[in-house]
Amino acid sequence: MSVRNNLSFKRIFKANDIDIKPKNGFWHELVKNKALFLMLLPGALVLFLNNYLPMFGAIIAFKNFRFHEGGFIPSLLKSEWSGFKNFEFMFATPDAFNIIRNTLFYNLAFIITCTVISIAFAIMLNEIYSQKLAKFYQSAMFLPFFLSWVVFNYLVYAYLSPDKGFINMTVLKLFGQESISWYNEPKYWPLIIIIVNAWKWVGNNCIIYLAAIIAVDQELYEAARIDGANRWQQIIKITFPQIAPVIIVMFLVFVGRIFNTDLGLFFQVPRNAALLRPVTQTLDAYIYQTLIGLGDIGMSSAGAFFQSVVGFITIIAANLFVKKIDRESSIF
Amino acid sequence: MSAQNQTEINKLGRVSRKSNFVMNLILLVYASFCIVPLFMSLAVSFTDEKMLTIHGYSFWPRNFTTYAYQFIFSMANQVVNAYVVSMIVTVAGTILSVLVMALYAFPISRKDFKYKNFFTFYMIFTMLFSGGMVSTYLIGVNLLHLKDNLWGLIFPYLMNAFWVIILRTFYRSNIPDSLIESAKIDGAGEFRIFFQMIFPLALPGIAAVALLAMLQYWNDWFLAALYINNPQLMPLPYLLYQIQVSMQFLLQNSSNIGSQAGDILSRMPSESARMAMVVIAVGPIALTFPFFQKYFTKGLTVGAIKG
Amino acid sequence: MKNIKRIAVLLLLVGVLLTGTSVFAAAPYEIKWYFIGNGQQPDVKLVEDAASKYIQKKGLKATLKLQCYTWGDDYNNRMRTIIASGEPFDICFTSSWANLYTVNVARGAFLDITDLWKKYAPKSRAQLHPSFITATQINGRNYAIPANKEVAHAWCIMFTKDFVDKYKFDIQSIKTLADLEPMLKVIREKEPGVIPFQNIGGENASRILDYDRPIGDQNPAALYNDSKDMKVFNMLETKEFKEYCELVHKWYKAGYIPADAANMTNDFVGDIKARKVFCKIESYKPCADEERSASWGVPQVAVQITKPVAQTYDCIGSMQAIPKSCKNPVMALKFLELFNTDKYLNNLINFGIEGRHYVKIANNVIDTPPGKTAENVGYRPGAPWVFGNQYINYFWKGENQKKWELFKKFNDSSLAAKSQGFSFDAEPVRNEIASCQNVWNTYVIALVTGAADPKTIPDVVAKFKAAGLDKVIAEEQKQLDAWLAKKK
Repeated sequence: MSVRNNLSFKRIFKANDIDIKPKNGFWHELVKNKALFLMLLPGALVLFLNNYLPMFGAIIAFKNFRFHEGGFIPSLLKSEWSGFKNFEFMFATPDAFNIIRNTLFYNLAFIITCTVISIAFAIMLNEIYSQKLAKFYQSAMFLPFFLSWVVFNYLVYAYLSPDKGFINMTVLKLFGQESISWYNEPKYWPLIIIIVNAWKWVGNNCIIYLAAIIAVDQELYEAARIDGANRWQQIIKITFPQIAPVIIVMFLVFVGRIFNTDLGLFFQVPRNAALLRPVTQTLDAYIYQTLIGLGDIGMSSAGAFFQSVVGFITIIAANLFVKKIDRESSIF
Repeated sequence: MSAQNQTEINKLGRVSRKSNFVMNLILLVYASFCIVPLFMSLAVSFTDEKMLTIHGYSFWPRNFTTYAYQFIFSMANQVVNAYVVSMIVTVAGTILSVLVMALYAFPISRKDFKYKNFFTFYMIFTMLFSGGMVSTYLIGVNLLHLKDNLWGLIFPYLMNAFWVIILRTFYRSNIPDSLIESAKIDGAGEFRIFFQMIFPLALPGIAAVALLAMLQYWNDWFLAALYINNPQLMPLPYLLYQIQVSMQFLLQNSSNIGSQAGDILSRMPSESARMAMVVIAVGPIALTFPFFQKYFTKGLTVGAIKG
Repeated sequence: MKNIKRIAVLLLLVGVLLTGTSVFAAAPYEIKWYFIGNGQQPDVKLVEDAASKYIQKKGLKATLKLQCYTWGDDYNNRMRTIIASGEPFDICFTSSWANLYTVNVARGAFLDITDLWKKYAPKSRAQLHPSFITATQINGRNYAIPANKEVAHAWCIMFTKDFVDKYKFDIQSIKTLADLEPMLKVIREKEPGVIPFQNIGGENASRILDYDRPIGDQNPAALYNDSKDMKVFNMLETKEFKEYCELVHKWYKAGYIPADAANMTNDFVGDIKARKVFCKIESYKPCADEERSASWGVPQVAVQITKPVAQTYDCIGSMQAIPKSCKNPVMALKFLELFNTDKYLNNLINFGIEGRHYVKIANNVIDTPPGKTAENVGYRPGAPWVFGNQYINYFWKGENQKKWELFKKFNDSSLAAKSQGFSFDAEPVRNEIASCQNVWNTYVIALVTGAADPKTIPDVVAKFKAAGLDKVIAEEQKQLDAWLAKKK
């Protein structure tokens, strides 16, 4: 899940932006501003091909897809409509509940852990005396953000490998404990996944919160000091309220993607281990595995469509909710 | 206000010594938690294979050897090839995507452009609703011909709505409208305005987005998993993944195995070679990232806070 | 909303622009062939060029493109996405164990070639044992051309010969799987880093139980292979399955089976080639060990431990199908006809170019060029039985030249399963089969590789029940009974 893209949205979607009434027609505008349109063209084209075309393709989810001569498009058109039959499979499996529970559970856990840890670290980085050390810590924390999930796959394995891992061969041996087959024991994985996720994202989120903290008006603190508030009181009474908008935006971004998970985290890091699937299978992993492992287009696109729709609903709902609390912070 | 009072107040401006110590300790532990695993992979890559099977992975190389690296460079073809593919994809992808996004962000940042809201919405909508992985894949293969094509590793990441918004915010908050107005009065065309004025002024923001794009391209395995079947076109992370699931890629082209065929005792260094591959893949990033970090923090911070 | 309207207009515009762009015209037709083997070979381009030249000389206006994926899940996963995406290609390997024939036919992926085959590839049809043609039919139609090879199978333990020689193991004394145990113990103690018993997901040892499973490898609905009573049951509920699981779990705990066995679903040959495997279960036919030795470049010896059986499974064990996405099926068939009957072409694709990838040491016998090995010779897809017609292949040096006679004896001595020729139509229980496959891949793989405690078998059985296995078994029984009635 991506938090790197945070920023306050109110600027982007100012209410008064929407009420445009072109007095001159579209064509007139096109000729007048052809340079601007030309600048938009590559991006618009990419979005069309890469994002809009697949939206039409999503009708596969409602078809009993069969191959026909002539390639993909004729096959798609000639395949019979099947209504919600493809969706039945998803909810008929005993796993459906598991998959949705995992997706939501992990995302909630990520929101909480990432936000709490990142803010705590940002405050610490801001408070410690030595600027030099703060810089060093920040760099070190930031490093994992630069690594591919495939690399995480190897790094985690170096610790958890059943017969060569550092934990089994060194740590547990040291305490005279028996080895654990980590990749066969689902019960440890919710915690491992949450730790690995924090490992990758905390450094990045921390930078954003730190920037917000630094931007807080220093005069506010000074006034508080004159009133005799100690540093902790200042943090609670000033810092938190001041960075609240950033926290809310980050939260919104998270919630908007609550039905999406990073495939790298759930597919690469557990090494797609079969026994771990009950706790590592999220919607994305499920869709990917159904596509690759079963090759069933109907079923996997039904999963993908379901994900899109519920994702759309949650983002709209989250936005409404935020609007109720704080109009300024909502996205649109 | 007395001097003593003043120091009292100043004292309230920082945490106590004890708190400072505890915080430093916590941060130090976490910082090492972030770096140490990489040292372990470095150590393992220099460890003798037999020691690995007996003692497992550890932070210190037992029986220091560079055999794993010799082995990898003996199958140089595959690794160099993947490196080249990753380089091409990263460089071309970053340049192209930054160009496409920076251009797209410009008109929609212009208050005097009538269709800015339409094109913003056109872009934002892709964040709200997507066709899903399967449909995207089918369209990619059948209509865009991304299969076994370097384009397949570049094209899908060309536009990222979030990053375009960062850029747009950056333009708006750093470039006064009057500047564009006056340039227009001087007779400069939109493209000239963009490349000669906007681009340099927005460089920190563009650099941040470029870095994000670069990371995405360099680290990606997913597009390769979907679109790439030809071993000649595999990027580094995907080769790394392939090596995890199958030894085949380590074996092919390796002259070492050939020369020792029949000798059951000299076996290939599969574990240490795998870690050596990780070191080779991470190396460039780990060495250059402090440099990038500076730009990244600068660009992203401005985009985020001012936004 | 105005914005929506504008988007619609814009989309239309771009759509119109796009439709004008895809015009293709190429001179010779490119025949693209996907198959399973030792992975894409470095010198494949050379072989493609030589083959293209040859088929053009023979009057086919075409070039050849070969794409080989490795054993295990690699080929399966690749072909699933390739077929699912509707990518145009011409020929693919299909079978009862990889790129499943019945599943693909049920999805409508393969072209019905019943009539085309008779018309454009009559010789390759005539040379086949008739049971191949009927047993591979689904509802009386043919969707693939079987390779001309053995019709039965058995199971064996395949050893890396070096280890057997080094410790002077008496492997011929092995009658059951359990007899292996003392040898595994020796290897475990004396050869650190060597896998005593390779037992990974898709290639696991439970195959020696040798059930007849018309639905496929990832479903527990089974018949006994002599199929005397023709009764479908859940193999997890049998005594012999439990005993097997107990044995491998014991081995797993003793370290004879690597701890990550359940998660190794891919390529197993890599470890063997790296000489890190002592033994594993393999399918057996005469000279199986010689064939594997040549393919892997590591000498092997085999000990047969089950009796030969002929099932539908064996007849559809190795075939080439033409997908519906093929742009020129007639050309593909004409090519297959030539390939199946032309000794030069067949051996070229099997073994590469003479002098470079092999040397002839006698009329029909070849060897690796001096100074080269199977690994660095540049072209060794390593699976003659994957392709067309084994009876026109060269022999490797050291291979028994009476191989084909032995094959015949093997075929004749085999027990013909009563269900031979029956094929299952998965459509009525498609969802249940997919659910069962999920359960299989999650839980059964752990059991058969030894990773999971056999005490969990009842839980897994319950999971299968929840996934609808009973319905699948009932459906299979129904189809089987109907098929039997019709046969009589």
